[in-house]
Amino acid sequence: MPELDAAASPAASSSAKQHPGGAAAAPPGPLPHTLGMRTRRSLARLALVAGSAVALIGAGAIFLTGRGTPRPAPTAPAAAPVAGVQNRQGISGVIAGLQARLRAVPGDWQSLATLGSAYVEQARVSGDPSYYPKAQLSLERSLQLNTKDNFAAMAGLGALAAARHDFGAALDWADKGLAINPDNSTLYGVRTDALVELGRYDEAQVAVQKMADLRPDLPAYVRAAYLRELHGDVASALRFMQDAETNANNAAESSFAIYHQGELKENSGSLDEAEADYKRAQLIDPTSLPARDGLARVAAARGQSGAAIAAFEALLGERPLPVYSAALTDLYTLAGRLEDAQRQRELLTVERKLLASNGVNSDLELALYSADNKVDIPEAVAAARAEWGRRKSIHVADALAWSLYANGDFAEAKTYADQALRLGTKSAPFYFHRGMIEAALGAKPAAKRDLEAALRINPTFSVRRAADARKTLAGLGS
Amino acid sequence: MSTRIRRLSTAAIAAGLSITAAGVPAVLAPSVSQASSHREAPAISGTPKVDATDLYAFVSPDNPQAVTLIANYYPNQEPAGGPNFYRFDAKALYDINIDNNGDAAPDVIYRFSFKDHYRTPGTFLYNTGQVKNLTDSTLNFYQTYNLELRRRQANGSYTRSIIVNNAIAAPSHVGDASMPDYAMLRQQATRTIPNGRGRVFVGQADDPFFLDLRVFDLLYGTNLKEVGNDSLKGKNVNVLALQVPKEALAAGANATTNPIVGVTTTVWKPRIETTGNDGARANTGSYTQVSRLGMPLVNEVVVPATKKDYFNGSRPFFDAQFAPAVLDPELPKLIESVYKIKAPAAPRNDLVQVFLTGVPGLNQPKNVRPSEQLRLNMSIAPAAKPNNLGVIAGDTAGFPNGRRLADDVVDVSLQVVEGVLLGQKTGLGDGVDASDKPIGTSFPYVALPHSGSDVPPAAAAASKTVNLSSASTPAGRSDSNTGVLISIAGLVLAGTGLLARRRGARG
Repeated sequence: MPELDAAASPAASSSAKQHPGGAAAAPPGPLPHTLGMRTRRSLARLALVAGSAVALIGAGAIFLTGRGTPRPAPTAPAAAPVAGVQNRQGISGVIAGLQARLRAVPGDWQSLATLGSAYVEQARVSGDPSYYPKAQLSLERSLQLNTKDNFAAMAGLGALAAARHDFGAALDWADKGLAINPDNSTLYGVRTDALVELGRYDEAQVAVQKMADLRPDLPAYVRAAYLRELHGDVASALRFMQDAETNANNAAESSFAIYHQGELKENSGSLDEAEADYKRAQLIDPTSLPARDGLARVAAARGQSGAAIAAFEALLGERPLPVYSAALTDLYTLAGRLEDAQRQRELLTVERKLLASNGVNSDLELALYSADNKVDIPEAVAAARAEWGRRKSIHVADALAWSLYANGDFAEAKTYADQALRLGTKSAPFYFHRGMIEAALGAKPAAKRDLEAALRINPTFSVRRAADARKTLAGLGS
Repeated sequence: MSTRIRRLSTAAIAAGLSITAAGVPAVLAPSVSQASSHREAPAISGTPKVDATDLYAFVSPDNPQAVTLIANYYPNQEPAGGPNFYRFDAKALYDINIDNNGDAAPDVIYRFSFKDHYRTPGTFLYNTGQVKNLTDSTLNFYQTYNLELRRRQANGSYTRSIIVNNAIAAPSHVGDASMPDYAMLRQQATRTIPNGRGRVFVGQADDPFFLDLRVFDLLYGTNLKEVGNDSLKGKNVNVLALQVPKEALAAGANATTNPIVGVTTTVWKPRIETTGNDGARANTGSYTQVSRLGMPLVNEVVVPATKKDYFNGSRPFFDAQFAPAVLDPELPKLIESVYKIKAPAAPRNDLVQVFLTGVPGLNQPKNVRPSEQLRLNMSIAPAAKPNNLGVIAGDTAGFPNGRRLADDVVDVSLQVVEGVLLGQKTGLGDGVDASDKPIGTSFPYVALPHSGSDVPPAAAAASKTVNLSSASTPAGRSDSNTGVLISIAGLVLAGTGLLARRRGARG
């Protein structure tokens, strides 16, 4: 980031960088670290902005942004004597408000763009993928009404593509939007997400920094946290998630940031701390499914399989999410309830079809599941290999490695297991997978090192696999 | 037509999408033990805590030796059906900047910074019983603020002093059961700054801004059936209010010889070093500007929608880049082509004066560097009988010489763009001439906030119908460029209709 060009700014005094808590006689304000860059860019743009054609559209666009805001239905009881410190504004109320707005003003392309993005969120929160086609309709309609200035619809289409696991398309939409509005942090967020999933981590780091420079707020913090996590820097990831929590605007955002603090702790084997965060996340947003999911996982990790099974069955009863079926598969298998486990495998197939019918590609996730459960192995390998052709993320590498291992292709599996760990991610499953592959290859010291690493990172990383790791380690001798 | 309008759309996105943030696990995770293979994080989150809505600056009517500065944040607060709580951003710095020599750089900065407090840590309760005083232990969550005064020295550095320390901000009005005497809380939160430096209030209030957003529905091709309702009725905002001696703002502390000041606000947030490679700190100690606000006109007329993000991070010092678009604006030409209201001839020095330099003989400083600021000539005494159309109605104590809480900036903006300062009178407007709650007669003037126990207002109960059937309907809505044109024209069409109503009402 360029330093402030002191000569260009009258407000620049002795120092471009400063801390507002610093000593007396300091410069005027927190001069932006980005000013030099902005300045140059603004000068470069001068001709463009000054151009009458741009100004013309600009003037219109300004008015076009002016519109009534849908009023979400209030959800809390009136005159409650005790109030939470965060607002509870549900996505359903937002959607209802936007729908009402669009009934009155069908041509409001901005509300259509917002509605489309809200549907994407609704799908995620509710686990109901049938919102994706609705999102697509709204976003495409919005884009039809205004293509020229409509970076908001492009951001929504990018988020939709990512939700459907089409990360190449997500990147394209982000870049289209950025061509129109290069200063929009949301578009840099979509770009960051896409690059991460495409395995282009260095570019993702650049994108998230740009996002943070434009808007140092919760969406940037959570992405920065994820990239730190992937790079094995759990301490920074946790710190960023705590920063995200302090930057939250409502209960749902707070709950999101707290949940992820818990997940980072859970993945480090700190079950008590993780549980405390999940409870906190649930307290601030009682509707949070991830918080319940986390609590169920903690119960499972503690060997409380009865409670865990009951919790996941309850979750599955509310939302037919494959993640719950996968959890139950493990728990039933562990409990010797093999018929119930088999039923979950069948249910998962149905759940995948439901996703596919709404445009969501879950081939990669199925590959990992199949390899884990030793079913449909050749198909798993083919799916993971096809995905690796599209994107070279560490998660794709891990899934391909694990399916190749299940297929008996140990040597090739090893190269992808190395790829999965190329960022130094502190992932117990990744180390476990590579350790098992190395053990199969007879590389005893490497296998021992990696399996020990898996158990050191998280001794309870899997209700089924942690035991496998210990058993294999024991077989490797000392 | 104020900044609020674009803020409202921002708020909609925020409302719609901050939920996004809310935790979504990976759609699929194949095993309990598997980390999610795809992180879905908040794509779009609003930043309402730092979103500036409106800025006001006026010579205090009940205290003509002092200037009142009011900066509002957190648009579109919905108190009714509460409890709802709206806070300031404890990570942000909120600056009110004064340029007292026309060089487009701040000479005096009033900086507010906030701190969150929970009386019972680990709880998420706002209050645990009735709150009758700011210091009641029943107010479980509260915010304190420091106010720092910075003055620029000849060498460009700034002196700094904390002039208000750990003051408690007035809380959100969550409901009458929790806060039976909110006026008392307002009173306690209105403070005298020691050493004759004035007064300060920080907290929630009724949003003093007013307009009918539905005039903008025409932008989307909808027939305008009615306007004249305050779209911000029942809405609150978070307020930073100062009342300071004129000498505290004037260059050389001499408000007689240097009476003209430019006012802007900026909000800063800590920069994030996303690689985390900054030792023990989560940020580098430097700050990023995330919002700026001055006049309620220039954003709308000059800054395109796709450039607003850029504008929010830009600085007044470089605003000359926008001058050409102001000198020869397209908007009046479009209006002329559709509605035959004659566009004033370019170059529009009248608009440059309003938007960028101040008006000569009124509020233009000597040697002014063009920049978008709310410019106030402090030597003009408060009007005995204020006219909410301000300068264009002959009341030089009002907008665009500063801005009073009651000034009708939407109507003024429309009329200025259509050349009222050049003698072309159109009388355009949106049909809303005042806020829903009357403003006060003493500092901080803003009305008390709406209560969380208010009943949500019934929709459009008192709409005034405007018959536009005789007006010509723009044709050709086939592409987006035309759409833009029609949109603008539509706004004016609404104004034309209202003109008739207004004349009727006044006649």
